This record gives sequence, structure tokens and C-alpha cells, in this order.
Amino acid sequence: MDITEKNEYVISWVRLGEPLTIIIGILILNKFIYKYLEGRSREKIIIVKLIIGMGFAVLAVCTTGIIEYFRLKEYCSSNAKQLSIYFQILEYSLMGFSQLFAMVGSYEFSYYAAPFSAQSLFMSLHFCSIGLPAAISTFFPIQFEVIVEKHIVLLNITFLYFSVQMQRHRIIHICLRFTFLY
Amino acid sequence: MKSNLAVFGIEQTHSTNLKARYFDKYAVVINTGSLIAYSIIPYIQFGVVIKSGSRYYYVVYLIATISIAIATIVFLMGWKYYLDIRMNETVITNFFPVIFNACQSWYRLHRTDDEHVRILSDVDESSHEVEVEEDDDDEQQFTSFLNYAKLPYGKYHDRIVDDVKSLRRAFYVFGILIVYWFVYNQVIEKIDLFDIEVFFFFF
Repeated sequence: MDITEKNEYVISWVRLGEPLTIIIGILILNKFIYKYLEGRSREKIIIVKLIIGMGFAVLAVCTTGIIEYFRLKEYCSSNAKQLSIYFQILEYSLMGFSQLFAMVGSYEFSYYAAPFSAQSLFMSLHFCSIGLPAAISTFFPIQFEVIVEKHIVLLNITFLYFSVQMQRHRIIHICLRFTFLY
Repeated sequence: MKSNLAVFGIEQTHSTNLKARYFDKYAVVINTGSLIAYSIIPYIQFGVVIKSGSRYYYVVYLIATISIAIATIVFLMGWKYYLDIRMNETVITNFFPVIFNACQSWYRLHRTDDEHVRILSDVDESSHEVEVEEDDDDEQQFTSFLNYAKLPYGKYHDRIVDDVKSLRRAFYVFGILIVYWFVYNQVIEKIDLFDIEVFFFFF
């Protein structure tokens, strides 16, 4: 087998980390965690889910940055040991963890938090929020993407901070509930 | 396809038990699909077709086309059993009229009588405490402004105005989610090494 063919083979298999994490994670959450949350306010749970998902997204993008940094270093220095491509599984699974909370949470928010007459609008806003970033990162030049990438961790942390601030008293309450199980 | 499927699926049942964990099941199903797409399809393409030296590259595309054709046929087979929920009203058509009406009645009340406004704000605060327990201050201001469109002062029913109010929360959450999906796109579809080199070349 040619080296390039083998690489493409591996690249697509590295991406398996994401769906595998989501499937296994959802099964575990449904089996063990979610049954303790029955009877609690659905909206609170959704917001906590979104916040956890964003936290994992910050972790994932930091990991990606570190791995890409070392890969670039290896690429520039000629006689270095090649960095294993399997390191990428780590960032894909972290992204999978964040999807597990944020994607499911955003779907649930756009269905359950909406009043009946606004359900379709909420759903379409949800898909706008998916489509807009995808369109921007596809159409705009590469330079823009790199510049955005430099600041995106900062932006995400800022938004995370604000969303946590907005819900602070609720989160503290929920954390207390988790720790003492009262 | 993706936007309609999620909503269509959840509206096929009325039982709240089935609806409760619907989106988890939906995510599992979608990711099972991508599991197959990332494992078996590349294996057939690179491990079987190219390794054997054959030129039938289109086999993989054929497999994908056939499977989506089968899925479409299966979907159409159940056509008459699907539940169809009709929407009576939508908040989009009410959105601007409600805000316009709130502005109108706010302006009218402010011009004519200051006492009215004082009474109105008292009523708003008391009614707001009952309606929404935990809200931020600025949100309260905005929503109480929309209360001017409610029936004694404006011309809209309480429920319609409350639906419009809920949009504010949606804009918050989806605004935050835009950043999230930015991160997702950056992590999943990373730029190539070549592009980084181009970038460093320019700066």
C-alpha cells in the first residue's frame, strides 16, 4: 500500500474518536446519570449541559492548538521523530465529549424552552447558529481563519464566563445538590 | 434534511416518556451513521478497491447512493402513518407588531399621564415577580417594556407578548452557540500545515 493511501486511511479512522465518544457517552449518561435528574427543572439541566459542553470545547481547542504547535515544530525541523497521528484521537474525543453535552443540549433548548408558537423559529435560529460559523470558516480566506483561531479560545472563555455569571446562583445550587445529594 | 428530521421525529409521538430522551437517541443514531461513514467506507475505498488494484473507484459512491435510496423508500413507505401537526400561529408575524404596539402605548402613556405610568410600573413589578422568579435586572426592564403591549394598555393578549419575550433568551443562547460552532469547525476541519506556512510567510 502506498504511504499516502495509508495516511488517508488512518486520517478517517482517527475521526472515529468523535462518534464513538458520543455514542458511548450518551449510553453511560442515560444508564447512570440522567435517572437521578428526573423531576428537576429541565431548563436548568439544559443550561448546565451547555456550559459543560463549552468547557469541553475550550479543552478541545487548547489540545488542538498544542498538538498543532508540536506538529509544526516537527515539520520544520528535518531530522525529528514523526509525531504520531493518533494524538489527534484525543482532540476528536474531547470534541465528542463537548458535542455530547452541547449539541444535545442545544437541540433540547430549541425544542423544550420554546413556547409552542415559537418552536419553529427557535429551531431555525438553532440551525442558523450552526450554519453561520460553518459558512464563515469555509468562505473566508485562510488568513482570517488563523486570526480568528488566535482569539477564539479567548472568546469562548469569555462567553463561558458570562454564561456562568448569568447562571451563577443556579449552578452553585446544583453543584451543592450533586455533592451532598440532598 | 437535518433541520426537518429532528423536529419531524419528535412530533411523531405524543407520549412524554418517549419525548424525554428523544434527542439523545437522535444523536446516537446520527453518530452511528458517521461511525459507518468513517470506518467501513474508507476501508472499502482504500483497503479493498485500491489495494486490489482495480479501477472501480465509483463503488463507494454507489454504496452511499444505494443506501440513501433505500432510506428514502423506507421513509416513503410509512407516509400515511405519519402524524401531521398543524401550526395555528407563529411568533414571527407577531414580533414586530408587538414591539411597535409597546412603543406606541408607552409613548402615549408617557405623554398623556404620568400617574398611569407609575401605576403601570407597579403592576408590572408585582406581576413579574409571579411570572418569572429568577431574572436579571436588564431582562426585567426589557420585558416590562414589552408589557406595554399587553391588553389593558396595548392590544395584544398576554400569551402572545410572553412568547415574544421568550425570544430574548433564545438570542442569548444561540449567540453563545455561534461561538461554540466556530470552535467545532476549527477543531474538526483543521487548516493544513501548508496554510500555516503561508500564514507565517505573510507575517
